[in-house]
Amino acid sequence: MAVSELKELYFSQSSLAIFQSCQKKFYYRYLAGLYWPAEWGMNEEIRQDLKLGQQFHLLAQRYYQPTLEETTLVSKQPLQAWLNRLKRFCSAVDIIAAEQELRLREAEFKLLAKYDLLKYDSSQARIIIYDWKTDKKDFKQKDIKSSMQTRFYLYLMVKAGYKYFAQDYKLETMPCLIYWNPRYPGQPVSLKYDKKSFEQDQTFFEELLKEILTSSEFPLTEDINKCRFCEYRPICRGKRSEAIEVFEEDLDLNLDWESVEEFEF
Amino acid sequence: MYTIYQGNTGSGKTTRIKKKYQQLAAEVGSEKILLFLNSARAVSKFREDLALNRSGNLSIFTYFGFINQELNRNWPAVEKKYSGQQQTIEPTFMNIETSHFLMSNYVDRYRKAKSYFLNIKARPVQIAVQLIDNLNLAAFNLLDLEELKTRLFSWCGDDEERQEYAQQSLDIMLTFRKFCLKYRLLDYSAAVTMFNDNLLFDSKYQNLLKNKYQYLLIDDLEKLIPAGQKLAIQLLKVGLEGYFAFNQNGGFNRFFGGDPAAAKQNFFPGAAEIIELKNNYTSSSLNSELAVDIKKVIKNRKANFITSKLFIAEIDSELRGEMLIKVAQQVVALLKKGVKSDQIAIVSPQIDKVLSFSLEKILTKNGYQLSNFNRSKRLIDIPFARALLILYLFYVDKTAAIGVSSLQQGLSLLLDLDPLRSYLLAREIAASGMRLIDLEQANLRTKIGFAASEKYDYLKDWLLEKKTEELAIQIFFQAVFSEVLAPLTPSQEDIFACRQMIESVARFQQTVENFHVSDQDLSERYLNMIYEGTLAAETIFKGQTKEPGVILASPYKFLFSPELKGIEYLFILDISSSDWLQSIAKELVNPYIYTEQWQQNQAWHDQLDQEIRLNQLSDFLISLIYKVKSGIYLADSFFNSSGREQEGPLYRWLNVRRD
Ligand code: SF4
Repeated sequence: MAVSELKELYFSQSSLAIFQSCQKKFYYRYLAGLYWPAEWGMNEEIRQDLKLGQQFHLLAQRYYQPTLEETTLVSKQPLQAWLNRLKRFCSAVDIIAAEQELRLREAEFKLLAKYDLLKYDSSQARIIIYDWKTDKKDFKQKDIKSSMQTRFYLYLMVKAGYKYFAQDYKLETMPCLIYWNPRYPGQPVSLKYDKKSFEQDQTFFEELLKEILTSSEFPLTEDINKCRFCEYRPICRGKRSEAIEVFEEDLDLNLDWESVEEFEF
Repeated sequence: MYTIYQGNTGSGKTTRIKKKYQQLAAEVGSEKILLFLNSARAVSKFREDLALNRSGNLSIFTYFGFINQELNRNWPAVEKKYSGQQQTIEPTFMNIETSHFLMSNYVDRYRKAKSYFLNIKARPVQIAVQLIDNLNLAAFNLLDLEELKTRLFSWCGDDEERQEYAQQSLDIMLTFRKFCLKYRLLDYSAAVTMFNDNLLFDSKYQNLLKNKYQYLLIDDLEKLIPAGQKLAIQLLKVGLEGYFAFNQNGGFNRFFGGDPAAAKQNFFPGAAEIIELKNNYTSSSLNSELAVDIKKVIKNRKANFITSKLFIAEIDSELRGEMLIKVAQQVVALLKKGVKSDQIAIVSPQIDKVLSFSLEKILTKNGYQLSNFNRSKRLIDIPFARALLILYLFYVDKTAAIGVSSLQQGLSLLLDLDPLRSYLLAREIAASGMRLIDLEQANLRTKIGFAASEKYDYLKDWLLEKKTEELAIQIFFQAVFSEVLAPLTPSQEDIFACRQMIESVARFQQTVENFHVSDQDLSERYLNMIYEGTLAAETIFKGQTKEPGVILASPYKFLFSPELKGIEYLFILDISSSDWLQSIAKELVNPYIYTEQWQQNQAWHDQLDQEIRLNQLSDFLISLIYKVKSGIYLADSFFNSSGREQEGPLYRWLNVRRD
């Protein structure tokens, strides 16, 4: 949903990453509202993959959250296989919540993250964050450790989540974040967090947010290479985009559409 | 255990609910509190205004939003209960236009093949809307299809033709419902029914809710449909603690789903505490006195001279045009005195072009704005969305539906051309059978100018090139939007309309994919119907389009816009218009028969119809009055805009003319 004012915006890891990558793109997407769900304009194969990803997230949510009945999938390959792998990889014990949102509201800015799964690790008195990826790339091909998502998820969990969950859980050590992709079940990536990283991230996010909030111009990136795959290329550069990038986490933004439909006679 | 805050409009009930929410969320966490509001806009406004430093998931919903979520999460159980087996991972929730589209296909087919609804002039989609309303109203009132049938027939009485139509309506409704459920396509009525039949009374499900939520908060309890009230009762039964706001004068949607009488009956006797909110932030005792008087006068239907300090003046003229000028002048006088423009509202049951145009002209001349809340919200009226569709129709060579004036407006936007030259071009294109002509051959290059010609050529080539690519509709739309429209600096409302158009098609296709192998043909028809305005796809843009202005709205729109709270001055126009007393019944649907008040053996007769109209009028006026802080102007004219004498009774009861 487009918001015209910066101060009203809840910043997520993708909006911050986009600002870092190209300020103009941030402007178009979050301030001008030139945004459309990721799957539009994708070729059929990518759309199918995205749908599969969404369905996998739904099945995972049903598995970890108490519901009335398990989903049984008749001939829904590869979803059935993925779900079985998920159950083997991470059983439904010590669950804090699935599909958990966390919002932090400071005087100057607001932050929001949505976690796929949170578990409580009582042996170390900490929260373990799980994030499911379903894209075809494996983690080796990505710089996942220093990604915006990793830093943002861990930082916000300590900054807001550890206070938010303090009533129900004893939390004494720093959280950890585990990425897992059912296409590569044997290659989870587990990332630890410490006080020093938290402090670094705190400075990093505060400075980045300050920069965003005091921006009035949002210049085009100088790195023309980034433009090749950007959906705004026709506007900025008068050329067609080559292939639009998909951020898996953008799919969450689609939820806005579910909540806007009015019912009136 | 639950508490009810009771008060009139403006007594601070919503503020109480908000405070309670924030207090509880800070104590137990936001996910433990289930909050129901009565419109999607109220939900997003509530979320935006929340002042919580840290929060988790926000369980803030409309009733429909909630059941959608619950059905989606618990779909395996619902489906198993419904059919004994699991067939789909999740159901498909249809948007309104898609369900209207499907239903009108049935109506069309049955009309042609079986001569259904022989003497009803309405178009298939208009009939479809009425049939869907029947299904919705029955579901909202927890009535099954058998009961729907009984009520529909008892409404018909002995009238054979109407009985026949009732049977035909039923045939189509049943076929539609069967079809939808077969493919797991849920419209509102099917979703409500599935939820009530398969989840609501399941003890395991109730247990889940009990573990998940601790508190239940409801704003505008009087507007909650009976099915929603049933859910609230179950939630209280399993032990949630409740805080509800109830407006005793908020019953204006009673025949559109809400049921204040039932809400009172259901919730008042068992309340642990009923807190009367007397302190009225937007109105004073003057408002309550006037409300009581109005209620009395309308009930007794006798001419009466109501006096109230709130009535500032009466503006009375022979002709409507004169009256409108006087109203506008009075509004300008107030604005010049320093009253803020969004503190003045003009309300009339007939917001026509004459009205909005006259007011707008005088206001803009004086440097003020008008915010017309009844402005057409159809997507197709928004230039960018229309241009998107026009290009699509050219792309698929289905240009027969395009009219010259619509094409002219599209070209004006796409080529940045003035109206005259875009008209010239549109006319030539139309003359050559709605094909994109060659400018050279048509001798138009110099007439429309070099820059526009270049853009036209580009657009023509662009379309030709796209044709060779054979794109799916969504991909084509996306390309038009990003490559052609976005560079034209659209406003947020334009962007939103385009996105919504694309979204609407995407949702339609998603629905159709369930039962139709090749979706291309159906989507084309769907878009054609949107283009022709038969499918009322409306924009749901919520942002501010311009500076706040003087409010112009019908009573219904005014009362149903959550952003319109209190105002200083209210102008009630056209009080002798008979439009103040519209019947709620249409040819094939009558909301009243689905309410608790309807008794089986009670036939529908004129007196009842009149009574309902009067109650509704009284509800509207009273709710309006409670919004006013400083004063009310009543305005009327002897003749309406088309020169006919106005004959509605309201002016006699308020006796404005004192004749
Ligand atoms: S096209 Fe290039 S400059 Fe424009 S928004 Fe995209 S990345 Fe930024």
